[in-house]
Amino acid sequence: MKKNDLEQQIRAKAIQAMPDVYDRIPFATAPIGVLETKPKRFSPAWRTLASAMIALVFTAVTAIVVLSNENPSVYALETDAETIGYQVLSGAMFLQNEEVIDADPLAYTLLDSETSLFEENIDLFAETFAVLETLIGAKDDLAFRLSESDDPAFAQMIQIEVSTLDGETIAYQIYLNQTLRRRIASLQGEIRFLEDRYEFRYVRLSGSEKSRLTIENGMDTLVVTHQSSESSEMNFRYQWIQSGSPYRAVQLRLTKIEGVLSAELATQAGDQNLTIRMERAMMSGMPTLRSHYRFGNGAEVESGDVDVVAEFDPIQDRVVYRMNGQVQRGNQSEPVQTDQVRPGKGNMMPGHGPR
Amino acid sequence: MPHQLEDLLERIERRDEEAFRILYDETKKGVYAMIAAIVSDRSTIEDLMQDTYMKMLAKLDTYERGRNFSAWLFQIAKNLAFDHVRKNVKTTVVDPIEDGNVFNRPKDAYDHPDDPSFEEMLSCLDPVEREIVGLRSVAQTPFKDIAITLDKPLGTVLWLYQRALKKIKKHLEGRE
Repeated sequence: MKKNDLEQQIRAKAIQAMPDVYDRIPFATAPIGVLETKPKRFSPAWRTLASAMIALVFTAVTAIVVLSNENPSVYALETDAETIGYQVLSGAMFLQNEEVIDADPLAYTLLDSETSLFEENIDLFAETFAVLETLIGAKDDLAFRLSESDDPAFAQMIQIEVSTLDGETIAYQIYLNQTLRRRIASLQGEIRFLEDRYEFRYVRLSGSEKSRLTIENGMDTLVVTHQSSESSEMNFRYQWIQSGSPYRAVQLRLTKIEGVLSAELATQAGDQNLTIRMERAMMSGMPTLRSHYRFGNGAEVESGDVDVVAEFDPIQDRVVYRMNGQVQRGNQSEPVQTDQVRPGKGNMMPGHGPR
Repeated sequence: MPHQLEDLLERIERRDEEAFRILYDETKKGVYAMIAAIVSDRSTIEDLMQDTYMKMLAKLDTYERGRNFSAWLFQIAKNLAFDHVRKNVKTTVVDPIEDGNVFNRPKDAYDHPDDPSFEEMLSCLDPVEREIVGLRSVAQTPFKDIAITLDKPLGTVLWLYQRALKKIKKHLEGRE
């Protein structure tokens, strides 16, 4: 039995057994506690003072970080606003979605399995595609705009617009301040999407690591390091940390070919390794996420090509993401196909995307 | 939660029953999964689900905005279920062998190899695995929220879930 089938069976049996107690709850007369009012983060006086100080600091250091220019024409992301914004956004997305592909599938052993790695981990692949689909594409699919902040607690903001496969545009805001201490420029700020806010710190480094971004959501921390990049590609490493200990990591390589950003996600444990390359393209007139993955376990290899398209299903009245492809194991090749309605999140950020 | 949580809570505070209905529909699977992982008797599960929502309403003033609401609600359900178990150990501890009629299903339902009940599927799991499978498979709760609810590291939850599925699979294959 496949993992998906088993999960569906468990869910169906549970729902079959689940009682409905709504009518037993006397809502009209039940005592209801009054909601707390969330305390404001800054008092008006502090806000005014902070704004004035920030304006001074910003004036002094703005040229050091955001406006610095590193041979912009050759890298996958061209400006500092794009590079920094991309790291903050992708870090928040990876932190938000623990199911992005990681070392878990590497526990998979080809010899012992009845089904392919892809089928065994189809949920992980689906969520990985969902996150990456908005982090790659042409310029129209991924736009960053630096401007003055509309929140007086911050000096600047980066407006980001990304697009999903079904054509929806989603906007995020990154608010940031800059500081300069002992010639080290750093940024502090937060990324906002609806009620969620993730705080981050960014510091530019010299040497093999060009920068380090630390982003937190209260419970988990993710560290994004921008590693030394070659010509037209950029390399980022994402490391999840809990209670001070790193517990998993993935490597992301971005390349830009003819103006289109594509991504390769890689993870490794011992003799086992997995890479997934993804790019967006028009296939038969439809926006498509094309992917190629390769899983190696010692001498054994499984690889596959899977295309993802988003189609509106008028019967379900929802967008259905359809995965079609071919998986190769040894000398055997078999088709894979799955339709799934995304769990109401589009690009997997809360409250966004197709419902 | 697809609906705007804060909006729902503010409407509930104003006794908007439609808002409460939405909140109930969007959280009932998780509440059920959490309670059913600890308690097996159907009427007790119904009582505890009712108690959970009553307590949620009464304690709404203690919920801190911006925190994970589902985790907070599931913790209420879990605490109530454990309180009940502590007071009624003999009648509520999950034991499908002793209590072959959980969820009021016919006893022979367990004897049919193609139709295992939810309880039968989970009978091979320990309590923590039951909670994780319940919250994940039934309520489709994000692993991160499960980790918060159970106060366990995310990696541990992921690992326990994979292990639990394998145990269920093996258990079902063994009964065929």
